Amino acid sequence: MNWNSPFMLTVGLPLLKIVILLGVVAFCVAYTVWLERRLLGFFQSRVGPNRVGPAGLIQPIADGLKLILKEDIIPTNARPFLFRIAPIFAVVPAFAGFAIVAFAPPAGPRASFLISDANIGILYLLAITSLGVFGIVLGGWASGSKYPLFGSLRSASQMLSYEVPLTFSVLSVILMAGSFRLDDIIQAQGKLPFLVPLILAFGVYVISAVAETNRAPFDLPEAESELVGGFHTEYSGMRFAFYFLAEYANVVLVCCVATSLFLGGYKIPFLPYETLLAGNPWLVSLIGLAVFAVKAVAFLYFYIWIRATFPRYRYDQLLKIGWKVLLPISLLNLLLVAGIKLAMLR
Amino acid sequence: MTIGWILLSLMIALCALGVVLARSPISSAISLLIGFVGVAILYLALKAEFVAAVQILVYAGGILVLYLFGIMLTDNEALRLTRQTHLQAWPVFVLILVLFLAVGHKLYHSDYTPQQPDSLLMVTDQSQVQALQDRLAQEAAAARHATNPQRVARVLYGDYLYPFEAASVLLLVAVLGAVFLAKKEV
Repeated sequence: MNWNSPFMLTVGLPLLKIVILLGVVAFCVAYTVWLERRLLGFFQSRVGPNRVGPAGLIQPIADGLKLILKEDIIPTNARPFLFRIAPIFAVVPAFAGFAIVAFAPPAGPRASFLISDANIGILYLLAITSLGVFGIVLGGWASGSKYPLFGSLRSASQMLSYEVPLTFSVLSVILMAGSFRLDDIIQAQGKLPFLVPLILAFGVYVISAVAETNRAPFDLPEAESELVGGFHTEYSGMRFAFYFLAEYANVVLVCCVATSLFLGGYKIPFLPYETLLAGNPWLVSLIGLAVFAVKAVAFLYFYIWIRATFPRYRYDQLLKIGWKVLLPISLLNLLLVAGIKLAMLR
Repeated sequence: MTIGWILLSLMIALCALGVVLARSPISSAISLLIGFVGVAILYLALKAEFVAAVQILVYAGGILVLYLFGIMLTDNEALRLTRQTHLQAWPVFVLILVLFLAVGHKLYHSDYTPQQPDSLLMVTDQSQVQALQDRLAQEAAAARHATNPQRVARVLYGDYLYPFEAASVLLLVAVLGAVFLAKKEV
């Protein structure tokens, strides 16, 4: 096979990367669920899943098999077509977001560890993840039942509200780096991760991201005590698994994005291993990948920790925090960063 | 490439038709969603990445969700009973045809040619050709250097700053008006 032919470069190689990435992300999602259940068990002084395989490691596969074998029920009141396609609306944006994440420094001109080096990078990510809400809203509405409808209504207003502070916090990162490209943003953090100067934006980002991914303490679209299962009450089998997959793919995506935007991506502060090992690009890439993974998993731990620590908020409290606390803070932060940037330019 | 253009345009046109012709509001909304995505792909193909992202972010991710919100909050039974009628369809069709023909006629008979400062054919003098070639090379280098968002920003916040600010004031007025209408007591 000729790897340098135009066809391979424009179609074959990206396609190969996409297939690999989809597999890796699906694997990570499955084991994020496992990690979360184990950690929640640990936080709550219980054991967690430990029966299937050593330390419960085969549990995700068993769960997946169970969901595939379950009957696919479509309620009488549901609108069948919408009910069927709604989970796809949830999954596709969650996975498509990974296209612009730079996981490691490129090992060569044609061996980059990202699918698309788009110059609108982070903007694409914001745009594509904003489509995820359709899966939840349409699914809840198409179920033709009260609780899913309430769940989807809550989710729509929640995701719209928190998208604003999220975007503003990301905007301050873009302002600092001076670029939309994720790789440029990572390069700009060579000496100091943006976590330090942009601690305010990081806080806003984390809180908004928790709300955007519908997780505790902001998991009101699926608040079990009020709404049974929320928007996915009527779903079962593979369609439910799609929603599950979408939620956890979004969690993994948030971890990757937070790593890139605030934790310095594959960079190690004060240790420019890329220049030290410049003669060995594949080794550099591997180290970069490992650094990225360690940071992302550390953030994931933090993310699960939040879930285990905070009780669920009331719905009006949730919206109040979004509009009256986070939005002013993120605006103020943006103004501050812009002012400092301007002062430095002068 | 051309086939791609035709297919994409056809898809967008079909979605636009779906928005108008669908009997249930939710089908209209979904047609609109697919149409928005199609238009975004069109922008991407035109190398206007920034506009494409904003198209999705603002129209599909924001405004359309609010539409859905509105549709879902409407009483379900009322929704089932209310069907869009198409009584106005034929008069409107005639009206659109007349407008389309009028605009088409005007376009066809006008001496409008797209601005082509890039064209070397319009310059005859040899020294001018050299100067133009230099300038074009410079511009191309600058364009390669500046990314799409940067170029959009330069135009939006440089050349068109006042219209931009005026539009934002207009939007603010609209927001205030909406709040005033929605609240019983202000």
